[in-house]
Amino acid sequence: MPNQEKATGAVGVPTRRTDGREKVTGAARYAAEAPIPKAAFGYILPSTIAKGVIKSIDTSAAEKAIGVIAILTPVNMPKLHGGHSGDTRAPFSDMNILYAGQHVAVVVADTPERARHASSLIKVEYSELKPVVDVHDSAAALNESPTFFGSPLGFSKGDAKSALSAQGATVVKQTYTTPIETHNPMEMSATVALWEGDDKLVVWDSTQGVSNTHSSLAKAFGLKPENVRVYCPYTGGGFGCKGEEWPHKFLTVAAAKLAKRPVRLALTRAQMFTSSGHRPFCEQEISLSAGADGKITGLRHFVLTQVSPSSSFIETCASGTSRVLYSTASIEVVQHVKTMDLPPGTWMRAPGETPGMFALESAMDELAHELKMDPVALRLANHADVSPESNLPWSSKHLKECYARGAEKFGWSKRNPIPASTKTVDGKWVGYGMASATYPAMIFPGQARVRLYKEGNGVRAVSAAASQDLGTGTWTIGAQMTATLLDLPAGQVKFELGDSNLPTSGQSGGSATAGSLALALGDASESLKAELLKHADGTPLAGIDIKDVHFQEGYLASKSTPSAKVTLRDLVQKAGTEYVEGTTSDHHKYQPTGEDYMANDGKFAFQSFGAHFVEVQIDDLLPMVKVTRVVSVMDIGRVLNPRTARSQVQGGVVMGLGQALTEDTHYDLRTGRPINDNFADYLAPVNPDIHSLEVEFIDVPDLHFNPIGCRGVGEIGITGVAAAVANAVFNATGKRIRDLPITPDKLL
Amino acid sequence: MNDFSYTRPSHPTEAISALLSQSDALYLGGGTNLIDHLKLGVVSPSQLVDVRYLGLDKISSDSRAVTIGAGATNSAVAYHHEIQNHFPVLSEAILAGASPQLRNVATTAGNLLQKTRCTYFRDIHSACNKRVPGSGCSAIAGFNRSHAILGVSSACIATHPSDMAVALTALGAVIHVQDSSGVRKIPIESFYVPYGEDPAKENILKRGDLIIAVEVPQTPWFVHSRYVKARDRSSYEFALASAAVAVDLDGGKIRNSRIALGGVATKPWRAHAAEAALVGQTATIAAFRAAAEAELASATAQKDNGYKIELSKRVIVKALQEAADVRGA
Repeated sequence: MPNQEKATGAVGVPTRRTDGREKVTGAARYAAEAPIPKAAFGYILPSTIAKGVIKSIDTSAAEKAIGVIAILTPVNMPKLHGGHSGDTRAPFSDMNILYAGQHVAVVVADTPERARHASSLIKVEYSELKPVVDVHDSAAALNESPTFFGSPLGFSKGDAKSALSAQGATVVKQTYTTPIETHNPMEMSATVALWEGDDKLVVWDSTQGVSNTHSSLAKAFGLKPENVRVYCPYTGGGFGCKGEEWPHKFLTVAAAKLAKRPVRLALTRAQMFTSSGHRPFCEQEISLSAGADGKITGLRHFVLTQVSPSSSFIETCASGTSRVLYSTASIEVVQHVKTMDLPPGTWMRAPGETPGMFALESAMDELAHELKMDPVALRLANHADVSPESNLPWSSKHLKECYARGAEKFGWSKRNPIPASTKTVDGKWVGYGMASATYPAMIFPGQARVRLYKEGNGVRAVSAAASQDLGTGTWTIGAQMTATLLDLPAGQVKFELGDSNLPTSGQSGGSATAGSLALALGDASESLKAELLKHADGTPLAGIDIKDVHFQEGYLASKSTPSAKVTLRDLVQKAGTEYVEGTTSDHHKYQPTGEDYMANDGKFAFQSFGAHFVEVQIDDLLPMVKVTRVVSVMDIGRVLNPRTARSQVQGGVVMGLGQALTEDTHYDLRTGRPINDNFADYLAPVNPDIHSLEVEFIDVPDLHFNPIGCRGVGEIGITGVAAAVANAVFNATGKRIRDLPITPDKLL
Repeated sequence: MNDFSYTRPSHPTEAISALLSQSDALYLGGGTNLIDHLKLGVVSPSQLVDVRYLGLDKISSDSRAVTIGAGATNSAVAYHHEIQNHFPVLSEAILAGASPQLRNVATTAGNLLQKTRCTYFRDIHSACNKRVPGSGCSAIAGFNRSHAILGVSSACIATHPSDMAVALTALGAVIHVQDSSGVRKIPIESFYVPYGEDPAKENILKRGDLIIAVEVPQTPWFVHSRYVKARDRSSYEFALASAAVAVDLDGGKIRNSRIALGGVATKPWRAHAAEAALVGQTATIAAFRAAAEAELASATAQKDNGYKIELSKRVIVKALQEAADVRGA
């Protein structure tokens, strides 16, 4: 799109993070570093068994240990009034152990070391039961019709069964498995709680939802919302594991009350494996049938995944993939879940889509191979011009351009379609693979405000929303959007977030932050316009229809009569108040329908798309997969900030390479404990694993979605990456790996 | 708290007497392994004797040998120009391990004595004969994809994790050990002992023994030496299987060779059977493969690590190819 912005730092301009300097100099305070004096330190004692009952907890030795101030256990835990999530049981509400690592006690002491040591002196006596940890254990309870957010997960359109068994069709039917993965953001989850008297609470929390955490804590402790304040100026990565109201938050607040002192508590790295979720194991069977022209006639997607006894989260692999990606007359989706004695799973970057796209896009590659069709051509032959799920038109879709531009940039035409036919001079197999990417565009209803102050000879705008920045760039794009909406230079605009006293925001999940903020800020700037016009008496804008007014370079101006304009400064001056404020009005929000977090206006389907092209090189003797090049082209609507958007896609690709090649949380099948719960044994990619990553955007605004035209970009980057890698591995070696991660032993 | 005292002697004899003064004292080198274990509760000594200030960090050489001080850091050894030139396998092996930050503090003796990465050894809630003799082995019936296939016993299948020690084993290094009565020199193959029924006993050191140096004999053909490591990611990851090799070629024929394996055995594994199979052979991939087959004939696989048998053969072949400059098909 033509870049019409004049001001550096407006939407579309590659802008440095406004918080970058604070972060690299250490000035940025994360939750665990909250400037709350005299805070004591909390340490969680985790359960060493995965299933059973606590018979007794003897804290007598721990209480006598040096520095110990208080010990919170299920015995002295106050009753909560709801608010918790992630783990569906209220924390410390009974003596049952449902998973290894479940919190059993919190020790509060004057130093973290003393708290930790005292926790080792607590004697817990368990009555232990054998846990069910293996999905193929016949003791695992099977649910063949699970629901998620009240909706069934099955889906049916046309007659997939007949299509898949029709004479003459080319059929692919394969099973793909993906292991449990753990988020592992750099910042461990932390909460710092300070009680001011009996009924006022201040909390710093590393969260993906400042407003959610605020309302949850108020509810749990029966406090007036105005008496609870939650801060989270920076979140050190979340990826979904900070999107629920996990037990440690409530335990920290309760411990602070018991200790009569502020308490600072951070999960350990090992506890991050058990106490803030993971991506569940998935076994998916994909069946695809197609005619000789490549047109898909039938698609069946069967998903088996695991849930925990105290979790409602389900990895819905088909919802955002097989139901939306390809045009076909018949689709059948079936999802089963098994209950296993594991810690609760949760949202992890593109939940559902990430394993789902591995299965679907691997199967598409298998189909292309069977049909002797180019994988891009097969996808073009099945391009969905309307949503296959709802038959609604897309609000904006440019997937064909993603394929074309990616193929061109990557050099896809040089791909040899015959597997195991290309080698480098030093004897390494070379393979090319590709896959589509997709992720829905969602809105979480939220509020924002925009205030205009006089400053110098002009004005200064300060916009704000409770919101949060997970490291993605919300601080920066909030200011950019405000600058664009008010047509002011970036230097005259500030954006504030990370404080529950600011206007309520939805959580940062579902790649919804940018779009939701765009909507709320757009609404607030309209409201600001109306407020300013109230003071237009005696100016050229007196009595003008608001629809004819826009912000223009420091003026409020008539669109039809450009000479009719008044400076924003004059209007603020005339108002006679410190500032003029615009706020969101409820009626401008999308009304929740069906899935309440979707931007569902019944007229359009909202979805982002993209394509990844991958080159791998694999030594023929020692088959360690090296991903030498990735080209990713994404259609995410309007790109707010090419710098931070590119980082989001690159980060997604890196995480996708981890999924493809190394990441796998192992639980010991006898004890139910994760056995690689540290950064040395849980293998996320390291620098030498990452080579060339190129990212491009189509950058066409989706103005049906919000007034800025942006959709989110946090998650789409990971979708499809693992399939593109597996497809490249097949092209390189002729070996089809359907079980992630693709470790060297699987290619021997 | 598990309080402990800390001493920083400046002479080896002081270090030895300091260690002997407490029955559970431990030497502290770079701490990259021991500090982890203190935090995990794997060990809780009452005294740490810091051995980084004993003047043992020099690397010296003469026509007979290169002598590496026990306190020389892994980085100092890896980037020492004579070691890079005369024993490239040693430099490559060190640089294939850990991360720059770890190598900058980890010491030579500490690397030789580093403990297994077996997850059950590090988890104090699991049975482990190496950590608590007689408690049982959780790995044999547990998840054992990374475990050993050579030198295993019914008591333990944990791998020795070092890369450096594998290269030193191929090079026939000699460990200099001091005790209160003097210094003795122990060939590295005699230094590590088979696990047998007591896997807690990993080497011949007795209480108070202090490694002061490692000597690598100057051997002209060690310039033809390479280290090849297969692993799950490109850096900061232990070996699934690795091979350190050196080859003495007479024209196209193999006069002599040294082969040691890492990541697959309970100690740095000198592959004598493979070496014997190569003597007098023409350097071909077929001969390398036959030698690898001979070595791995004695391997024992567990539930999850059977792939290591084939992978070990391949790292041997690959390392010999590179050291002898034999191209693949």
